[in-house]
Amino acid sequence: MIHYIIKRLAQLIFVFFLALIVIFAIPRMLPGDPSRFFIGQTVQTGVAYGDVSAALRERFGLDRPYHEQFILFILNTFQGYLGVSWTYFPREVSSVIMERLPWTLFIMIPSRIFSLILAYFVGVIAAWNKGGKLDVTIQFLGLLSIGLPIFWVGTVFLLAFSYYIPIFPMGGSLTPGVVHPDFWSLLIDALYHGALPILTLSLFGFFGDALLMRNTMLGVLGEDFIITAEAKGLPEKTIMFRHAARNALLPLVTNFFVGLGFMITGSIFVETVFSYAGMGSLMTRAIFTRDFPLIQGIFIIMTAIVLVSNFIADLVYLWLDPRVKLTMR
Amino acid sequence: MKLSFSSKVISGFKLLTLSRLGFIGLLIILAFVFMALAAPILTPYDPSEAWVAPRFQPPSWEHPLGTDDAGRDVFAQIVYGARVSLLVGITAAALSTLLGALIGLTSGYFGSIVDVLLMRLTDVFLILPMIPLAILLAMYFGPSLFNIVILLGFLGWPGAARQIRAQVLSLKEASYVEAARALGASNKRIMFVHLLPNVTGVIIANLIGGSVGAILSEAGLAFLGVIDPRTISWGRIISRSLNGHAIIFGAWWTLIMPGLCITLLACGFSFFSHGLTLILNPQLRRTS
Repeated sequence: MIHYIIKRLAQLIFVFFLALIVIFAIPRMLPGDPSRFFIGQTVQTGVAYGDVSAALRERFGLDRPYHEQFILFILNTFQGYLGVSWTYFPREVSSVIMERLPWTLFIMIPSRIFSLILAYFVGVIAAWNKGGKLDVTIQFLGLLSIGLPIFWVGTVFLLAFSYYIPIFPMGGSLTPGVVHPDFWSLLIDALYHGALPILTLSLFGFFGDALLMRNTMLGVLGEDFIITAEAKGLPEKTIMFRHAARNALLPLVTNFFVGLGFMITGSIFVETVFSYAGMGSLMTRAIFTRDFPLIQGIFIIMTAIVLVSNFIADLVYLWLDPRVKLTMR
Repeated sequence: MKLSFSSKVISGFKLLTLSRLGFIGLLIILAFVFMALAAPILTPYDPSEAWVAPRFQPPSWEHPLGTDDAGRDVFAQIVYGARVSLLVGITAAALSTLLGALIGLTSGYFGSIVDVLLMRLTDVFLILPMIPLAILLAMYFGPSLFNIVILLGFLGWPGAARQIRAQVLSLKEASYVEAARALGASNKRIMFVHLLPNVTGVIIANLIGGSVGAILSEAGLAFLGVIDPRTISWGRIISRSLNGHAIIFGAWWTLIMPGLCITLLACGFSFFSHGLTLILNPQLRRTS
């Protein structure tokens, strides 16, 4: 089992390394001098261009050979230095991202939990009454949801719940200008602003989760021990939840973590719709201002989150399913 | 019995009616293809011309879907936007299916170390977050329509590669492949003359199914501003209107309609591929 974990860990580092190579290589393959962009974005006019350019190239090590630059780049990245943002100059990319990351997690994790809990019940009941109303509806909606752009779903919610039925704010993450006296007042304000983003993100993962639960549950319901339980005359609810659902839970639980990886992409769109101050809307701003170091930094952090959440999903699977452990030995 | 081309088309069409969902999907796609081709006939307005009317005008006879934040005709933008969605969706999916077919064939046919390396590469592409990667690359290379197609094509192949590899793995053990090899056929000939025609079903299903992802990715990238500003795209209509405070004006027409079109077209392709898989796989057809 340790062997398996180490193998997965090595794979994770390998993929991360490849992503870093892409980031390192492509801007250096493209024609043009990166310092020119930087000067265009940050330095004021009236300074001799050549001097600034040379100084910048030296300061950022761009005058050194590629292999030295690469080693420096990797070392920097693993030490958490992701460069300097052009938009938020002279702040470091990592400090800008770290300020936004908690906000993204604040909508991502609750929406994952909601989706999971709802999907559990819907999946169990849909599988139990296979071909019933709920089952057919959830399958049809699942098919429709494949073609549903998440930013549009968010836009529809925004239109519905802050224009036609104005119960939620038009966007933002906190009421501007309000100083919160204590933590609870801050939390309530954050939840009030986070409600629609959380709802949208929950929906984004829900159909996949529900169909997964339904299909695993159907598999379990065909097994012998369910027939035994029925033959014993156990009540329906007991068989449904204590016997069947428990045995069908594993894929859903690991999907919690796999889904976190998908959610990070969803959060870019959702945060942009709701002008929510997380890492996703930071990405949109970085696109708008052509802030290359920031886009790169966000990509690195998002890749890391996807890789780590997939790795955790594997670990949880190992931990929860004793059969996997036995075959690993 | 050799069938003529027209009777093949007719019998294919009859088969399609077997799957109602697939048939509906095809109708939706055809409707959008018509819209894209007939764009100049359907609307007299230039989709990018601003101030043809005051901003955020609700739907009227003159402007069937109203106007947006800069007084552009929304219906014209939707009609011309169909061109971009269809073009990007189909070409990007074609490119990624082609790549996937080549990689899947090579990987499945040669096996051993080639297979291991190619499948590792596939895993890498499957796990990397695609939209952030596409954003990053599009910013480097410039977000022109051509670049977006190439990018989505190059990022979308892993699914097709895996499916085609799985098919090839089971096909290459077939006795006719062995016979071809015994007759001295080259690897290239076995791969492209004997194996490729037998995975056509998977290739077509991937071509159609892959369009769903490509259409949604294009719309998403356009929504985030990763797009040539001169392009008329459904995703961009929504983001431009949102930035122009369409919500405060309650301008539902410029927010709801483009998204509805994206959903409909993506679902059309999804339904069609659903039906095609059913038809191209006789085993599934018999059971349902």
